[in-house]
Amino acid sequence: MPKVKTKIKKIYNKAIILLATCAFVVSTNPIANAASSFDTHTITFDLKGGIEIDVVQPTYGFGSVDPWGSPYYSAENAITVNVKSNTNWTLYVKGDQYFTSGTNQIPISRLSWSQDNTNWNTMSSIDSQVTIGGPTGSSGTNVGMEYRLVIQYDDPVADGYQATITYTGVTP
Amino acid sequence: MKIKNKKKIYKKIISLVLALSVFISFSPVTQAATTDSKNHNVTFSLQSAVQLNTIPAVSFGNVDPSGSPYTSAEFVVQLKSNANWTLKVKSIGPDGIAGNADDNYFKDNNGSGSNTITVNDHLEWSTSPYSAWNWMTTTDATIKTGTKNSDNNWQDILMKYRLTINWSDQAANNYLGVIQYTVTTL
Repeated sequence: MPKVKTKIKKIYNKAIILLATCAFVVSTNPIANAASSFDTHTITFDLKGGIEIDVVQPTYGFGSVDPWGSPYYSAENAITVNVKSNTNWTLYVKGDQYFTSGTNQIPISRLSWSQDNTNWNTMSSIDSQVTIGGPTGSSGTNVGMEYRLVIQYDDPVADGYQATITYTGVTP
Repeated sequence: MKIKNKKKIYKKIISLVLALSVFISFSPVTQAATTDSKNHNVTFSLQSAVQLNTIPAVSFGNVDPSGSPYTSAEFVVQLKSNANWTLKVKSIGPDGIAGNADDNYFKDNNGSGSNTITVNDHLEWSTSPYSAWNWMTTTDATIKTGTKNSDNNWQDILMKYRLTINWSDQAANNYLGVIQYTVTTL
């Protein structure tokens, strides 16, 4: 009789262990048939300093001039240079060596530029610093400029004098 | 043993390459300067122009027929021109307006008197070197032609007047006439 009791006890214990194991498997595999995998990666880049220059007026014309009426002044802020940059920048200006009309020439130094209509800088064929600035935002910074033209009596009479003025923006 | 050493060397090379690649990817010196340039044109048309300047008055002072003729001091007519030019002269009378009846007269009392002396047979002009004298007229007479300025300075034309006084001319004070100089581009 005690032997029978012992056997029953053993069977009972085994049943308990089996049930416990099943419960554990169920609890640790809630979605037994789903698979998932995780991975990550990083995105990197280097943001360089950039600059974009736009001269709003493609041409500035003084019209008909003569030495008697010289000097001639553009309107205030007649020339607008828009600078877009995401870093510090420097704006330079230079011109051709001469105004030309056919074979006629007038030195570019007869043209001066100013930012305040008061302090005038002689235009040169070598870059001159106009101004400096910092990051501009997406709409950019407008740099207003004025021109002054001096005509002398030894300048040859001709129509259609032209010189190209170049604005250059540089980031460090 | 040899294989172990090779492994160590291989690991060191890998580490060095990794270290270099990290250095390069984070080095701020690799950022290059950027530039952008835009052009625009400045234009104009240069017209011919002249500018004339002379002394406001020439005075002979006190004159009389016995001392006639009287030659003035030399004076300068200055001009600037960016084209070839012609300088002309004429008498326009005491009122200073060309085309009036008084163009050919000096008038006493600084131009407002009643005594008159004709210009065209009393006043002559000459230009350096004063080899020829020309009676002043009421129509433009050419003094000189010239070429455009070679610099921005005045071009000087040296002049003199010669006044002849006759015994028939009425004595009076402050006879006055007006002479007009005109420069035109050719």
